[in-house]
Amino acid sequence: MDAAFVFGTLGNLSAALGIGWSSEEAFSWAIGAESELTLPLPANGLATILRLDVYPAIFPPKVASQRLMIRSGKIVLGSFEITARQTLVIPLPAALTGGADRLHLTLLHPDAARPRDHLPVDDSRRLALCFHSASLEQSEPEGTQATVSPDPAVLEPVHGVIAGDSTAMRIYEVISRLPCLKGRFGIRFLDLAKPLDRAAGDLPPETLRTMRFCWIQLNAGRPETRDPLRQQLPADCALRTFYAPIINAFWPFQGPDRRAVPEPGRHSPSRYPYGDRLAQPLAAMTLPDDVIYLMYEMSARQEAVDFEEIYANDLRRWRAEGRKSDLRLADFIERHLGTSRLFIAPNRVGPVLLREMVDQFLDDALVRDIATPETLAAELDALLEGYAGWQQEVPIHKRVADHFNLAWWSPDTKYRWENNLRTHREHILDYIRWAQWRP
Amino acid sequence: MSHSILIYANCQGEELQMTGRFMQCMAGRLDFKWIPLHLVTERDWASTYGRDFMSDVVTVWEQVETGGMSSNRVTLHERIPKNIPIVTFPPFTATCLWPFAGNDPRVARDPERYPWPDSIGAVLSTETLPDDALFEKYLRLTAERMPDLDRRLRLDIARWKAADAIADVQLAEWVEKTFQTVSLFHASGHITAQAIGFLMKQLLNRTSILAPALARAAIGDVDILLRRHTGQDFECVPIHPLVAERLNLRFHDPQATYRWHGHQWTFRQYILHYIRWADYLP
Repeated sequence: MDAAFVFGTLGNLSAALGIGWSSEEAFSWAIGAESELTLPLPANGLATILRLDVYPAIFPPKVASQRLMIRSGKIVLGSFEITARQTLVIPLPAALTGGADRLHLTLLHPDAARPRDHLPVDDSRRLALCFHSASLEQSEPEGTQATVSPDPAVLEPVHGVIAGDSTAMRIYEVISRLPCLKGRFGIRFLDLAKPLDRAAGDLPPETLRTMRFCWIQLNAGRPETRDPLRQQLPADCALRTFYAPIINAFWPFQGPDRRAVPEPGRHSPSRYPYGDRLAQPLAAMTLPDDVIYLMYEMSARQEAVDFEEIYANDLRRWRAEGRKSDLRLADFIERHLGTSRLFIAPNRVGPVLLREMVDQFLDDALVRDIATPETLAAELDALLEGYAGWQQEVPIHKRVADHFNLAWWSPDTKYRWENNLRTHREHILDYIRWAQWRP
Repeated sequence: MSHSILIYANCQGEELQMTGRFMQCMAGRLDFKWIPLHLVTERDWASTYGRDFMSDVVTVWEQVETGGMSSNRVTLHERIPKNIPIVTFPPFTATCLWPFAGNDPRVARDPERYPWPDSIGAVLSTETLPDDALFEKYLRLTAERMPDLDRRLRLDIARWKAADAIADVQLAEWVEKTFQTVSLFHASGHITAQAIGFLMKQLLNRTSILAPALARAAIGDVDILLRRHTGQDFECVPIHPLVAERLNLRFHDPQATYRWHGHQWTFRQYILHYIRWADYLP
């Protein structure tokens, strides 16, 4: 869009309105039989389209529509019959816009009507059309347009899939929104929880047969879904594999809970899917909040937990996964563990770690041919500003935060679970009581 | 399940429905159905909301609209079972909190990305300034063009009272008394858990088919279900600091971040994203 105009006294068109207008804060009524409008033009001779967002003054059955003719001098630009809010699209001839720095328009609206003639209101203005906004859009000279692919079914010159679970889906959501790749590098998500034929049915036809890359998450789905995908990769398709890292060290009190069962129509897999083996035994007690939380805290303090051992196991696993796949995350996690919120749940990476995974994926010859690292980094910075990730955050206990020196942690940190925000204390109390909640 | 409460309302009705469906005390006794009055089409009436849909309805919670009876409402009244109780309630709206809500030509072409238009943001959308200068310009223009907020508030109050006058449940007095101390709105028509809870309890209290003990239990469930809930916060439109100051919004925190789908943005971040019509993550 090359120019945006907003009608009404709060907008930017007050000086552009000639005769035949009545403005209120958020819009302007065209009144009487004729109105004049003068819009500034870019004066560059490019083909220009004018759009006008208008609403008719209709009083059915007597006034069911408003006619509008738009003229510039003797040239009629368009005639409309308007029955509801509508965006009018008016191509402006080059003869009008070439070299001109403003466009004088005459709007003819013969059906203007007085509200007081039709409704019990004291409004004697002859209203025709309510103008909300306008815009000018110019097309670039031929040959300079950016190639875009607005149709999601159209495959890009370089395209492929990322197959996996919700982590893969997040990576897809990020990469598919980068402006510098649009229309040239296409990525699509393939859900490994589904049988391959069903998952492939969600993709544009020919995707699997013509894809140039395939990124497979090795800890998602089952071999029965992953293997058929590997077997049908085209000859020139580049395969990369990865693991979505899982951490146990941040949630050392995890444990199963016999109350955790699906509640059809309400909670699936269960009301509180991440169990806490220290909190669960307190469920039978009917004590005040402060007392029961104190008991939980005593258990947590006394529990023998070898954080370093659990973390060493996590680290060993991430390193082993790095050797078996194309994404190396262990060193990054080790470097940033205390300073950034790398995980929001045992099996959910936080935005910073997600960004690292995206960066590693985009460090690829297929991408380097299309966009520079600097452009990609700038676009990722913009897209991920304030990104919070999944709406399913599992609270972290103070002992964990102290042990790993988590810079972002505080006792008042609120954790989001769907549309709920809870501190660690609130979460533990709700969990112990198996309190009902709604998404 | 053989009985239902039918909610005929805008998107606020979905919040009532969700709250109702998760109430422990209603499990197996009463279901909650919702017809979105702002979206329902003739095809929906023909295909979805027929005799079967209506057959178990024992009460209707109907959100009122000022300005005459729409054809959808006429259809609703033709279809609901005869002689069942109807409890009417007003919609929550607040325009004074977002005085620049108005028009943006980009919304007509891309209605999903930023559906809460900001006129000044639209005016600045073709600027090519760096972030700091652009935000400064937004602040300057909005300060210059800030409408009379007392008048806007009076208009809102008049609208709330007009809606109350044709409804069984009354909201105007509570909203007027509460909106400066407690955040009730995430956007002009999207509400927080406090507002959902207040409305839900009023409706339960006026629903005559509920035995008093069940109504009391339901109200208790509402408190539990909503005590940590954030309401309709997937699209929070931050309030301009000058609006907060002039309307004396005591809950307002200038440093707060606001959820916008998958993001948490400050007022500044939101405005810059909006002006640039920047893409974001779900």
